Amino acid sequence: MAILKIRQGIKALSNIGLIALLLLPMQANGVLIEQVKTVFIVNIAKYTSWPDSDFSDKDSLFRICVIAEPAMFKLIKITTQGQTVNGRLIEAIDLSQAEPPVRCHIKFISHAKYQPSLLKQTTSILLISDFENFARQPGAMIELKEQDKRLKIVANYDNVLKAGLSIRAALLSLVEIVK
Amino acid sequence: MLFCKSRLDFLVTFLKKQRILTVFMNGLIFHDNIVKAALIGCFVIYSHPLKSFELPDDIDQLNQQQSELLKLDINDLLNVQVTSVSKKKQKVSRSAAAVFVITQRDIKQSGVTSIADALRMAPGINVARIDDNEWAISSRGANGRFANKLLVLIDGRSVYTPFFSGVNWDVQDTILEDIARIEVIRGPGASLWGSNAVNGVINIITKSATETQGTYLSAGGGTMEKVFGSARHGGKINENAHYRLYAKYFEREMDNNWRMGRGGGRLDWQLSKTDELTIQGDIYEGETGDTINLPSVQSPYNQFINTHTQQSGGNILLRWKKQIEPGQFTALQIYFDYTEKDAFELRQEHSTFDVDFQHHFSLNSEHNLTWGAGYRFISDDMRATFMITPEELQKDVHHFNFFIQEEWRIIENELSFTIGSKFEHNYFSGFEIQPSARIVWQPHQEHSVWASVSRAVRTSSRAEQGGVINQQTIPPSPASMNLPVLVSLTGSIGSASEELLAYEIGYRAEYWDQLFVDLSAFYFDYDNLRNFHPGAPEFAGTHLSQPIYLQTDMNGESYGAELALSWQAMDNLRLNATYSFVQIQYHTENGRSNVSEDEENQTPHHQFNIRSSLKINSSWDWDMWLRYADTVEDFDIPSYLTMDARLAWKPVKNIELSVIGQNLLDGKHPEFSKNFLLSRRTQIERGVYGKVEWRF
Repeated sequence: MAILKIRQGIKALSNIGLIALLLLPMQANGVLIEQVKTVFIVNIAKYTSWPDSDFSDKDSLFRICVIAEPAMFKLIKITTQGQTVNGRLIEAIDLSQAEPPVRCHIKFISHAKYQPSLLKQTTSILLISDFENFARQPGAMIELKEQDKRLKIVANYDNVLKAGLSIRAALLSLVEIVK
Repeated sequence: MLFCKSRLDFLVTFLKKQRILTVFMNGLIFHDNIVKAALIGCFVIYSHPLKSFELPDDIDQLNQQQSELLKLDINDLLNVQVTSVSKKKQKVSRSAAAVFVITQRDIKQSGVTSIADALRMAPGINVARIDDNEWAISSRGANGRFANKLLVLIDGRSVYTPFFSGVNWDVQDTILEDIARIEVIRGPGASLWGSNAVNGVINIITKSATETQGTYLSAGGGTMEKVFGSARHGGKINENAHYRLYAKYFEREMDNNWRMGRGGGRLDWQLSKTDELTIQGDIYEGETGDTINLPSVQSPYNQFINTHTQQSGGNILLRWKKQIEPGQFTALQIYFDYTEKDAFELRQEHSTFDVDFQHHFSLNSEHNLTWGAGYRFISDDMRATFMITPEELQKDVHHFNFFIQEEWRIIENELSFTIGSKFEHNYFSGFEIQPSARIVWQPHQEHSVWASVSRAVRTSSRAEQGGVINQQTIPPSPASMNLPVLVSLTGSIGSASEELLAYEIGYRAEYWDQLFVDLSAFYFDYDNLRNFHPGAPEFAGTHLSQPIYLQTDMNGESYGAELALSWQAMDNLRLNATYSFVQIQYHTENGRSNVSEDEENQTPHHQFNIRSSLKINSSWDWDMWLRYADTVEDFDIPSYLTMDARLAWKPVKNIELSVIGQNLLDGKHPEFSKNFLLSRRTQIERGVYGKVEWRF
């Protein structure tokens, strides 16, 4: 009851404009860069081909493994919910919580969690990160890079090919290729 | 309640995850080394826009935006304009205390070369350099060479010396690039940190070994900073265990020289999904020069002599954290610290053993409880001189403490109340209770207001317990029957603790996504303050002895306010400003000595700082720091305005060259005087130094 009364009290205060005195700024309604990054991950998946042998059967899931802070993982989870890649449902996995071994098709490493050792590996896993200059690191593949308030894709295509993957020309024509 | 929930969620993740010791989430910073701080929900903070990511509160709207974005084709997607992370809206902190964080970026951009000078960036803190290697540093007034109401911890290890109640700033150091941040809390923190956290607490937090992988080398030199160099290497033993080792050396010179070398290391080891172990330690050795007054009962009575003090020490600390279940964890910290200071006026050795345990758990979604207990053993050994004679040359003291704290989240995300107390038994004053109550209300995520009431004590010290300091000799005069008069400060056994009852309020806000405002005000009510009483002169054969007794019979009050602003003016330009005001009044009863009342004028009333950091382009940085301190009336120190500036150039990715100018606006200025031990006043001079840093 006490809590209810306090809550009511605060509501009353806010009604009489006390809170307005605090000059509450308007909520900005922009799109966060992370929101676009997660959508890019899904799009990149749609434009990349994995060998059929990477999926145990026709119904097996498409797995995006995530090494990121919890909020970023949650956003990826929200974005990939119900999405499909070549008819396969996407499953986002937080690698820090998962019991190995996990079969991944994409591994996303956030800039906060980036470590060179995470690039060791890997056939048929597409590595994506927003770590600065990621595409120029040994073994790295796709970098999500902010430039002029827009997101662009930088790809080390040699490494993508080495991993046994290929990216369709429609996407490849829009990315910056580095070696 | 999202605030605390996310804090707990974070903690769970934090404990489970390997190699990540600092995480930014929901606008909060949480770090392994101040478990205490995070626990109370009151001391969790940030001061600048941070590169962190948090989900917007409105998940439905987020879902909708994501499905719209998914409909775009890749060409359109490449043209979506995004909000940059660093300018993203963030919640203002909910800490119910006046907290300011000096980040690694601030330290780097300021060009400071010591921890003491870095503290100048914080509001409410008065940093006055006395000479080459001595500082007077205090929070919210009460400053002095032996300022005794500020508790300082480095990675959880207290560096507050029990001999004179204060900090030997000349031996507190590390590679400054390895400091993650310095958290400066003005006002009492005694309900958590215990005695002597009266006017403030400073937590110096170094990076974890996982954050300092690779090699770092730096070297340089200049006019005041003669020569310095440091090297650090971080590596890993296996996937779960990381280490770093470092070494550092410098020589500085103003009136006296100061050279010091130190080395150390840290190991961070994720033992299992729920257990995390940190072992760290340092050793140091060096020499500090000083000019002090040597009193004598023969002519010339007082003479200034140059002395060299040999200093060395070391410490080792072990911290083990265990998560029991989500929302419940324990932390155990044990350290041993040894310091040796062989000065002309006194030789001291201190050995400290400290063990500290904490347990945090949630009773339900509204109530969080934390309790802890600790024990500290300090053994010292002194060699007396004519100038300083402690009551006992060797002493072992034991301190015990227990604390409990309850956080009640009354309204989720809006209102929370924290109450707790430290219960302590110390050697000097016996049993002490130091409670605090804090409330914070966040009507909107960009605004919070808080208020607190707390009690803290400053315990007596070894020097005050019957020690004698022969301070100066007054030459013979007819008034002294033509005999020299030796003035001696004399401590009294069993002197009571100084007490503070503190009332604080504060307001924090973020405006237009770019401007952070942090305003706080306080009223402090002191009791049992230390006061000097001139006693009756005694005839001592060749001279008169004038004892001055130390008693705790002064009271006083102080009030003041601090403002901190942080403004991301442009993508590449950040401005920070702080302003501090403090007014102190000390009182003694009629007929009693009023000698110490003058100490109310040992802190500047007004201070301000303006810092700008401009990123000219990807390889050039230009930083400036203008600061002002009002007069220190008691010592006739005039006010001063000065500026530091830094120009840095990165010719290639991992090499940085920088030139730093310090105290540029005047050739030299004094900032403080020595108390107790008389000395010549040192002028703080303009200085320039250059630095090369290489990371690989």
